[in-house]
Amino acid sequence: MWRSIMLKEWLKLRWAFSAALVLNAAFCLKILLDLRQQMAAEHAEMVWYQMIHLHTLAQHGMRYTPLLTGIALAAAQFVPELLGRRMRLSLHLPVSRNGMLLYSLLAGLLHLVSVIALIAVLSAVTMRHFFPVESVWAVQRTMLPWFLAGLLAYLGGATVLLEPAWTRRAILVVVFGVLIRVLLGGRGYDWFTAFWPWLLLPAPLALTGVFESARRFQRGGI
Amino acid sequence: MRDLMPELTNGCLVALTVAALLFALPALFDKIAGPPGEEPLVFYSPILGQFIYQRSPGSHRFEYRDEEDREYSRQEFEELLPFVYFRNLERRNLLPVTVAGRLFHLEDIAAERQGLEIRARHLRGHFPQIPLYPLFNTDPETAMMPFPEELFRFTDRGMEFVNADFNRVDPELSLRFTRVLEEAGFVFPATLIAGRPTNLKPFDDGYFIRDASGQLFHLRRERNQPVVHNLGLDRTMDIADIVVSEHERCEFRGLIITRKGQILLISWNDYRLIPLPVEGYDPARMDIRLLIDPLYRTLTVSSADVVSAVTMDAAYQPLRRFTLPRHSLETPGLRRLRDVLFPLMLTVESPWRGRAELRLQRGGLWSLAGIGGGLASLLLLNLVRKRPLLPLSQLIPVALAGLPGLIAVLLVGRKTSNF
Repeated sequence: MWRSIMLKEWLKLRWAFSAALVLNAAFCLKILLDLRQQMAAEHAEMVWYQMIHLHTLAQHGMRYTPLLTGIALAAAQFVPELLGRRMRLSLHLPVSRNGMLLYSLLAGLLHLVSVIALIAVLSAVTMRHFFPVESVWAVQRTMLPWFLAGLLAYLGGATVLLEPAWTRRAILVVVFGVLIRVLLGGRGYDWFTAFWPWLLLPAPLALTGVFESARRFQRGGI
Repeated sequence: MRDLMPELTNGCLVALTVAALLFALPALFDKIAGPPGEEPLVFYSPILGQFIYQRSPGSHRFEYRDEEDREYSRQEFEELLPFVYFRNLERRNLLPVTVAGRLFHLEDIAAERQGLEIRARHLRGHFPQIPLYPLFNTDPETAMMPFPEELFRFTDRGMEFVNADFNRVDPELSLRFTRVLEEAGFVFPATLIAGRPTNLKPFDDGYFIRDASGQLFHLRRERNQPVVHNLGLDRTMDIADIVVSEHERCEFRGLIITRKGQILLISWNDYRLIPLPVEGYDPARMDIRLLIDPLYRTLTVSSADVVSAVTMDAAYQPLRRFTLPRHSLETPGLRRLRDVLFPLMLTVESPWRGRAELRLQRGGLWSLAGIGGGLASLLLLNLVRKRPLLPLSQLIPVALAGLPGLIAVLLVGRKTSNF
């Protein structure tokens, strides 16, 4: 049964996942080419100065791609379930609601984490090629809130889509929107590094919150 | 046994909603209420022999007053501060000016002026910094200050220069500087590195570097060779940061700020420390400004509540002090309303930090009225709806967060909760 659920999730996710992989890889490639061009056009030490002391971040343009990835994966996974009320059929399978949802979320998170890992690795390789190792870690730390924004977007997307009441959906969009806005509000590098463990706190709360929407979905919004 | 799962899942959503509202609602309130007010500018007037200040009562207007609350026009204000607004006075043919029996021309004033502003957010540890620095090469035969091809870092074993062209350590240059530092008694690694990593300055005066044993060194690069000087300071000095000056007056090389709020100038010629007569300075959340003119030195310390100033003679001995409470544009009624509405506020911005700082701020005493009002509203609503009066799942968010907690409970809380 679990294998079947995972297969179903893969079938739903594969196109969005592939598109996210291509989009994020393309952004990473663009950053590599931009830096290569900048290094050729300017003195390398001035590019370093801009990055290290003026806080010019080559990755700044892709801060929203983990967010878009999270939204796309949540939509790919849960919109088909809501169309034609297929989710109701799933809830009649001989599997507990929470167990089935947990596996669905694990499948989605696995895909999201794969995309995030790709961004992290490509960014690290690019930065290491052009900059000292300190810059590589600074960029990774800077991108962590963006990745968490992607995670919240995915979990928030699932929570909103599974929620049966439209007014409550709108409220949840605002709640997740505010939290994501905070995570994406940094300037320069290492903006949030001083208290990054606190940034992790909303993720388990949001993960648990998805189960509330699923419970309300099954019980018709009560 | 009762199923606690729905309470847990709903509680998580309520917690997220409360957190989002604690961020968003106070920020929205502040946006509607308007800016809190600008920092007043305090100067010492050598004409009046007392302090004079400019502050804004709002709406982009300014008022100019002295210690005795006498009001001045903008023109009078400028004339009372000839060492600050000397270029405007020159345009108005009011220079040269006689102050304390001495005649000052524009050139005299310009040559003897120096200003240094140090904001808490620019101090070490208060903003993100990648520990890689350019060490400019001072070459008397070169007029400009080219940016060096290498950045340096300190490791446990020595000083390392990383060449930007090859993104590799330069072993020869690294060894040369490491050896000279070792010969000077430097104990690796460095625990503080202070300098100005920019070539937008008249000359380069290198870096002040504290070693692992607490000794403070001054390191420069002259004709590509290291020049090291051990300042021989007390190793237990609790230095928060050092600010390098690099000013053409060459009176001092920079200033040391200790965690206890001492400010000490490092004299140019002999590295002697000159303590400034500052009182109540907290480098964690106060800004300072040192203004030097041909006759006096004025140090102002700005906190969230007051601006205090001390004027000194040329030997940095205090002559006069003045404290000006900061005037907030927020009315008491607005402040009370904020306290009532938001017993707790979440923010990641701080005026004293150049990076995010997560702060959970509590409101004043009026917050209790907000919490009481929230609980009474909840009680009344549950009474009308014939539900349990104050279940824990509703009581906790409202008792902690007041109105935002009440909104969260009403919007995403469970309607049938008995918990």
